[in-house]
Amino acid sequence: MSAPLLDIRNLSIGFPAGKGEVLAVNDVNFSVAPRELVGIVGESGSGKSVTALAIIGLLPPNARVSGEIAFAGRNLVGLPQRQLRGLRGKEMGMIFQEPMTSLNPVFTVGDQIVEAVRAHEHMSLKAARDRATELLDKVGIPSPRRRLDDYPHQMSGGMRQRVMIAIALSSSPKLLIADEPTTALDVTIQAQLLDLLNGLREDFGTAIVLITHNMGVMAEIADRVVVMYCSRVVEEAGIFDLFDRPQHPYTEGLLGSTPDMGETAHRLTTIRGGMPNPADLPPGCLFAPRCDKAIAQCTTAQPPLFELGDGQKAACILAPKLQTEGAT
Amino acid sequence: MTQPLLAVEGLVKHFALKSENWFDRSRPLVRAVDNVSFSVGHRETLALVGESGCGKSTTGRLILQLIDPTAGAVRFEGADLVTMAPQALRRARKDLQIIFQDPHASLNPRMSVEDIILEPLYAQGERPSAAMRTYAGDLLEKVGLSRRHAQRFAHEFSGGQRQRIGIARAIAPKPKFVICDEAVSALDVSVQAQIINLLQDLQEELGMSYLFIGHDLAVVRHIADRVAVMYLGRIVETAPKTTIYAAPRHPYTQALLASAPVPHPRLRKTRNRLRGEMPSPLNPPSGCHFHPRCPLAQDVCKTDDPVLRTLESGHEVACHFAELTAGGPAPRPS
Amino acid sequence: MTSLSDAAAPPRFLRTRALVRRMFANRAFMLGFVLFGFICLATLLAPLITRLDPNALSIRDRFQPPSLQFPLGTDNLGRDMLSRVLYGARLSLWIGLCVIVLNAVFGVLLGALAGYYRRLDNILMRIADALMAFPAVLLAIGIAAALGPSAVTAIIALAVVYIPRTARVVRASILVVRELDYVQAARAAGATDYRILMRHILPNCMAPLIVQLSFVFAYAILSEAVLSFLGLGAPPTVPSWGILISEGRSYLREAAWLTVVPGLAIAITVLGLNLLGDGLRDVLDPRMKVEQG
Repeated sequence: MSAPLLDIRNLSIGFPAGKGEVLAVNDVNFSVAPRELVGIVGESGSGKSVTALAIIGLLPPNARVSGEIAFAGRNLVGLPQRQLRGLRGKEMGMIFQEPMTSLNPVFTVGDQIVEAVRAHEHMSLKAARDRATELLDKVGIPSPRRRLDDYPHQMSGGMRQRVMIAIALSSSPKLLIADEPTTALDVTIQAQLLDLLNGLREDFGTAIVLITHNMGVMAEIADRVVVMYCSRVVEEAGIFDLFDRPQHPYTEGLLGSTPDMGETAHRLTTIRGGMPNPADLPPGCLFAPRCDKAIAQCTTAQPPLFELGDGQKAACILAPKLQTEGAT
Repeated sequence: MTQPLLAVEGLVKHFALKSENWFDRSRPLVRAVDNVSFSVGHRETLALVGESGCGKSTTGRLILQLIDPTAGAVRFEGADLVTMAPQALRRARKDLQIIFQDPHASLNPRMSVEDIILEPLYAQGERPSAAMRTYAGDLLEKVGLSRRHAQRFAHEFSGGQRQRIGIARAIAPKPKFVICDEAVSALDVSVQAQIINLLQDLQEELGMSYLFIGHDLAVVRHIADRVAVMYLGRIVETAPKTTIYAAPRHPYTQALLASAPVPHPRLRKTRNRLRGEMPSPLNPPSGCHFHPRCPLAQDVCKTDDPVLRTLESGHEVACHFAELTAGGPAPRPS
Repeated sequence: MTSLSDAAAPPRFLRTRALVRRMFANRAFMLGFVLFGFICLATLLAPLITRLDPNALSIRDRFQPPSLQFPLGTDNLGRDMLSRVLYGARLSLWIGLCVIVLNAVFGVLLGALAGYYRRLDNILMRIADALMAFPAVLLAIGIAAALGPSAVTAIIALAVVYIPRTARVVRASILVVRELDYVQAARAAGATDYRILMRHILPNCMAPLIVQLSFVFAYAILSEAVLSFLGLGAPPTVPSWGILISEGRSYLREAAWLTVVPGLAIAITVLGLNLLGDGLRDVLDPRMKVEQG
């Protein structure tokens, strides 16, 4: 296996809350290989978006970060803002859920792409405009030269998201972080954009970290999935293993809760209860209070991520026992 | 056939926009809902599906007379709500309730949960009493909350719990018909599943009919008996759930199904993606509204509006070529 | 059916307690509260602070600078300035209070009519625009001049000037709240317009109204002083702050305290009210609410 492009080790991120601190990300480990599409899936409050912001270095200043975010062999944690800014936009790009608020409404999309292009490369205005046209064409915007002069509000949500992708691609980044990029869009547009993201890997060799709450989106394009629950990674697996034999009860519950287009419309299985309050977490396994399989042992200690072979890992004390062999 | 619980006939809503030019007083019209007809039977769930801007939510509000229709009739148990006298309409409202999408905007922040739940009854002239408070507690338990929650305020609850309170309010007057307007769209997956199951259980127990307005075909599949697909203010296809998912006949329904995420990574495929995006309802395409994006479009589609007609298979489809689409782009790989 | 844990939901009284806690944590609010509270307390306790009659003449003690006997000096007729300022506050604050009560009643009424019944909106708001097109003080002077000088005149004039502004604030928040889902839910349940307005819309428009009223209070005190100064307010025998300044103006050179003292009283009151309003705006802003559960 080639050296990972992104390697996250023991990443913890805390935010001050009242007198103490709440951990939004707690001892997270995963890596992303070049050209790989890794999905981070979880519900609101799982810490998936904070993880994304940490990778790109956009955390608010009051966040306390520990651990390591190694990008192309360099640790980004503790790097000065100036150097992070150089990386951001050049070697890493990011797209957000709401493309309307990510674009400046008073400039044309052409201006904004040209600005992004010239921020990383010295070139004439004309050359930059040509490059912008080319980028808009690449992200599937019809008659790109004409659309350069449109303002963001003249475009639909799907078009604006394409413009955001074009801006993110302007420097041919090695890594693209996409935080719920299709959540605000209709299904037909979501399908188009997922195709586009998938194509980027072949055309640009970009690795993608895709953050979503939607298992269906994962099923569509992810290579590997990291499942987060309450600030922790509870399972990591290749996409097929994840769907065929989820090892953590939360993953199983999430799959059972997802309405799908499968053969039969069965009654949905649910996970009982709701997310625990981050300021008042249960002892031991954070999922134990909602888990049907929980045993007494679950409430005593937080289970580590057990290696289960084939790159599958699960933070459940029952997982290695269920596994006939391959546990380390 | 017996009379349906609710029959919507030729419903039309045109919104007049403010004209951009102060001197030009002609006001552009948005045809948000354009001649929509359907019916909902007793204990039936009809899903109204479409992408944002297709007019599905407007249709829901037109049925409840929250906005006045431009034309058309909404017959509830045979009586037309549109032409009904205000007093009679107020009484009729007891039987029609609504559950909203946003659990944060749908509960009055200054009222206790108990008052919120009982509001539809107070609105109908009931007086606060010990019996009413007991009833509010019963309702809370019915939707999976505790009666001890009655005196709390909405902001003390999570999104899923708030949606349960919204459901308790909707079922409080024992309605016959409930509109679920994207009622589960804003919720996390695990909570969404809880609410879908709750809605199903309540329907079973209380015998209500639902109009389930949504955009997620996978969600709709779990709750609907029949599905109506809307595109740019019109219904393009209506069929029983099993039929529409297995063999959609309108090219738009087919594209919508093909766009929905696959249930398993093994079913990934390169699919026939729908081209382009939905045009503005301000200036809809001539003829069949779908023709600029339709793989089957012919000249006739640009000029003639297709009418909703019933096929032998039981589909109602508004497509000139509905007979040809039976084996069309498959919604799922086999 | 799943049952939800009911942990982490604090009981009802915490809502008001949390509000009070936010108020005390807000520096602007606290400073305003202290300043305005000081003025109000001094006004209420006037008979305890000074035993001198504000209208008792004492030609012997004319133009006494501040001293132990007259802490704030005396005026041209030898009247004690401290008592005059303290009793003058009663009139100024009373007029301010009357103006905000009128403002609250008519501002809410007109704002609610305009915001809820869109047919009335155009008419009411054009009238409001017309009234607001005049500079506030100029309009107040015009109305007061037409009605003749008296305290009631000042109240009416100031109410007329500020009601359109309050009505606009109320209307704007009603326009937002009336579209919210819970209002739609009440309509769908068959609630009457009156019930929808009183139970669902107005209680949720209170925060901007309270803030607006605190500013109107400040403006009213200020404008009343202007009217009195110009001789259009309360008759001169009743000392209001504006009259005190007006009377002291002729002796600005010889006895500056005659204008400075009531001027400072006005400044402290208005500053206090403005800080109070600013603080309230922050404290009552729903976005400041801490999400729970």
